[in-house]
Amino acid sequence: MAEGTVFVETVELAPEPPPSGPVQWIRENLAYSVSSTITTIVIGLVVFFGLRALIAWFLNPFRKWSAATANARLLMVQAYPDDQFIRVWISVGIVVVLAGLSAAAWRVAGKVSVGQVAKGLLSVGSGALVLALLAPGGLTGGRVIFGSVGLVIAGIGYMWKRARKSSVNEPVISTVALAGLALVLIGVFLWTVKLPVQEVFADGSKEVTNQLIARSTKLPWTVQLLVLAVSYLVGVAIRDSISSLRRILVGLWALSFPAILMVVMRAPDIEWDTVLSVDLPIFLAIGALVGVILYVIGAPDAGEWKYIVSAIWLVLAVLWVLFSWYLFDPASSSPFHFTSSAADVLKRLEFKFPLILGALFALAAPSFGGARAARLRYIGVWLGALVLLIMSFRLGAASSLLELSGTAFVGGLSLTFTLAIAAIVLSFPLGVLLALGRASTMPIVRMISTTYIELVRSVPLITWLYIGSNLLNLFLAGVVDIFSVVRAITAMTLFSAAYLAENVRGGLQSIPKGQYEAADAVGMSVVQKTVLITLPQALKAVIPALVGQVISLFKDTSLVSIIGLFDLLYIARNVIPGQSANIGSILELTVVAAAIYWIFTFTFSRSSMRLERRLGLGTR
Amino acid sequence: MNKIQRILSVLVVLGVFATACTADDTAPTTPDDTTQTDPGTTDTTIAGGSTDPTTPVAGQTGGATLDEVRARGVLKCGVSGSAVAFSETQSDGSMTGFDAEMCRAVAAAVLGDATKVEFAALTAAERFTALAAGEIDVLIRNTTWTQSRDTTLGLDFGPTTYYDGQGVMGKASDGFTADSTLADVDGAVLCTNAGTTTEKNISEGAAQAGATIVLSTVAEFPEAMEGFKAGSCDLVTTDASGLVGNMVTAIRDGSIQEGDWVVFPRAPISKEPLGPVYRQNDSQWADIVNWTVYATFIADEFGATSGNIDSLIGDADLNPELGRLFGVTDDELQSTMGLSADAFYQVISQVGNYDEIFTRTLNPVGIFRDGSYNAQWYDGGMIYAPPAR
Repeated sequence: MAEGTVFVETVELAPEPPPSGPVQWIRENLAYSVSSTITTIVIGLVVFFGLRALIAWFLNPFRKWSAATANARLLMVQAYPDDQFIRVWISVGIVVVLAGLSAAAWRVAGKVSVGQVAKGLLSVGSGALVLALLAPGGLTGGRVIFGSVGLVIAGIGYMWKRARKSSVNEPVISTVALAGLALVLIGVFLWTVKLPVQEVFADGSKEVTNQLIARSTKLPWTVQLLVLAVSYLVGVAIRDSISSLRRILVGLWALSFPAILMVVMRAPDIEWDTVLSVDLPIFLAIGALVGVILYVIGAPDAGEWKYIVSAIWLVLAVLWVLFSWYLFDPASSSPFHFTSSAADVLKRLEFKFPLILGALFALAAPSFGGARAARLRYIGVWLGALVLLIMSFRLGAASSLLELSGTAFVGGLSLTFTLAIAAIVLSFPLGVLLALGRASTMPIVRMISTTYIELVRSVPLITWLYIGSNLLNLFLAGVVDIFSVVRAITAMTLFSAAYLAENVRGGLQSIPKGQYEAADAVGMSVVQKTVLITLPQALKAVIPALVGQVISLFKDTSLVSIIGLFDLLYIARNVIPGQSANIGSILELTVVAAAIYWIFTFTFSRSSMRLERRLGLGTR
Repeated sequence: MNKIQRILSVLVVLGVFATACTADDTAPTTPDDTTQTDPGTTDTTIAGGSTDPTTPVAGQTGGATLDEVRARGVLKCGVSGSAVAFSETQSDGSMTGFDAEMCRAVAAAVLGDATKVEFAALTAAERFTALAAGEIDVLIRNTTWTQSRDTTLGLDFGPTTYYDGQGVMGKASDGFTADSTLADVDGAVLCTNAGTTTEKNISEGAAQAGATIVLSTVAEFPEAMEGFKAGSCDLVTTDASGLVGNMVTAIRDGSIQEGDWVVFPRAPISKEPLGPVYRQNDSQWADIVNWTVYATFIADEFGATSGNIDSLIGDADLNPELGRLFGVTDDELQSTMGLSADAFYQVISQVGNYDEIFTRTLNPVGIFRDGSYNAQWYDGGMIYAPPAR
């Protein structure tokens, strides 16, 4: 048809610049159609009035925010004795030192552009200013202060942003310098900013005085800030010379929890005579004998008999522990009547659990043995594990040097942390084992695992807490005090392990069959295949789910108040509003508790995102 | 080779067990001996259970509480720790309030030192189990004495130290006065915390008075108070002491004026006698707790206070009843109870008489004795102690 005609563009038009400006932005994002305009207006009004009401509530002069600041200590540790308080600071110090060193070792320091910082300051400051202006009512003192602080921050941000635009190069600033600046600011605030604090006297009269934020704790907190800075600098100095610093730090983090719990919070009275006369010989005897067995079993030849001997050993050891624990309680008159104290139980089990541990090591020996060097290294690991096990039993059974008023071991945030960390750490291996058991081809193991998981998952946590609190009490009759915490940890661990098992099983199922086949092809044993091939990939795949579980477990600790433990939320909602000075402060304290929970769970989720990025999840 | 290895490993496994068996025999005895010869380490609370072999097992107690407390050197007293003016946990962790003072009184009587008390803060659900299991020696936790608790729990109740009763609080602007009755609450929204007897009492009381109420329940009483302040509840109900405490606090804050809120009716909806609780079948311990409470009553009756007791006992004209009670003229009765002769002198001198305790702890939240059931019997109240003779 019109074949010969070809239209050729000869004039090149410059592309039209995209329309910009606030009006255009609103048109594109908020009012691109009639319905979107209506939605924007409705939601805008809801947000406006909602925020207004919220700010009004927060700034209401009758709100007793001083109930939280005056009782900070109660919220953190409940009733910890005054003269022993240095122990609390030491435990905080341990965490702070490790945090500083880790920040250096993992090189968290980065660069951030000044423009980015300025933008952040501008939005935070203007947000604060808008909130202050939105607030109903007159120009009260708090509102003016809040608004002017926002104005100053926004002003700094705006000026920085302008300065950035005028300069040619994008200036950058170290995040460490920013963090250092923030620490200095916090330090200055601790010593200068005053808040009204209400005091009540015996005759019922009250006096409101302006006091520093951290009245009695400003010095320790300043020391902690300095320790953080110093340990970071030390970490920077040594991170290049010590190549395995990260591995050492992981080990130290793992040890820090029991160390804080035992040495700092509980102060066990270790009987060194017993350690030398009983523990040491037993350690040497069991360590040497099992070491010899491991050396023999770890030999690089194949042999079914190794597994049979180890399995018989394991069954015998487990039966022996159970029988001696329950049926042959020397302090009781009848087989089913238990009168031993926790310390006695721990002392009796101190030398039986190592046999279970030895059996487990023997079962895995063919997988990790081999050449002479490998076998010797394996025996070294066994001896290390044995020392840890015996020492933890010894520490657990020792009486405490620390006298606390009341039966409360710890309370408040420290209890919340104790429960959460212990339950997470303990439920992890159990959950992984259950997941492997459920995915196993052995029918009995699979059946037991499946039954456990389904049974535990189908009952609410509160019920397990009740069961744990009451049934464990019957099993270990006469064992009280610290065991109310241990009972809660046991119930939470068993509960959480079932959920964790299902998460891990999801990861195991996501691994392509080729991985298993490749492992089989190179002649790996079952244990090697699991530990080296499938489990690492499975765990990596389910990190988001595991972090979700950690967060939910952390929040679930607030349920323990129903079995009589005083966690953060119970202290905030019951104990502090029960002080005659703070009647009617329940909403304020609930908000404060929510903020504390939020700070930690938000930190968890951010760190998990960091971990995912490091492992390259979602980028493959 | 293989066979030898097999036999060898079985032998070694058996050897390990044999070693562990011998260790098992020696292990428990050695540490036990050392702990028991050292009295300083036996009474620690967080060691995971008492090393004392007499620790009672639930439901199996036989008059050993006094010996146990003596051996331990400290009284374990169960309180609430979150009950305004009765047992408050202060910001430094110390325990104050009416119940806490009663605990101190018992410690003064038994151990001669009012500070030798270890407070166990217990939730309402845990309190009776803790007492029955021997975790505490006495429970003084604003606990109402009822027939079912007395008969079914294996526990006994001591003399009532505070007569409470359920009341209703309304606003004067809604037309409520101190003379209002339950018949006047018809059609009102009434808030209270769930899971307590207050809920049942008010429903029954209103039905009997012929009033229809809309009952709105929340988890904790302070939430009900928030609703009352905000106007979503017309009325709130709980024990009158709690209502008065909240009202007085609001007046002090300046959020309401005196008379804006009123507590009614004049005769409480329910009887809530609060007092100490102990394990049953331990008469000696029961006598000690009972007579510690009575000693504070009697000292109040005859005007012996912590301030004047020292001059009183030196006085030749000392009231003979006080003389016997304080062990000045006769120490026989206290000794029979297993206490030292000056046990009740220590109570009054270190803690004070009933009126002093009441004034110190309850007056600040606006609860007064005059005209209440907690006045002495000769003032028209119900505080009445048997004679000390």
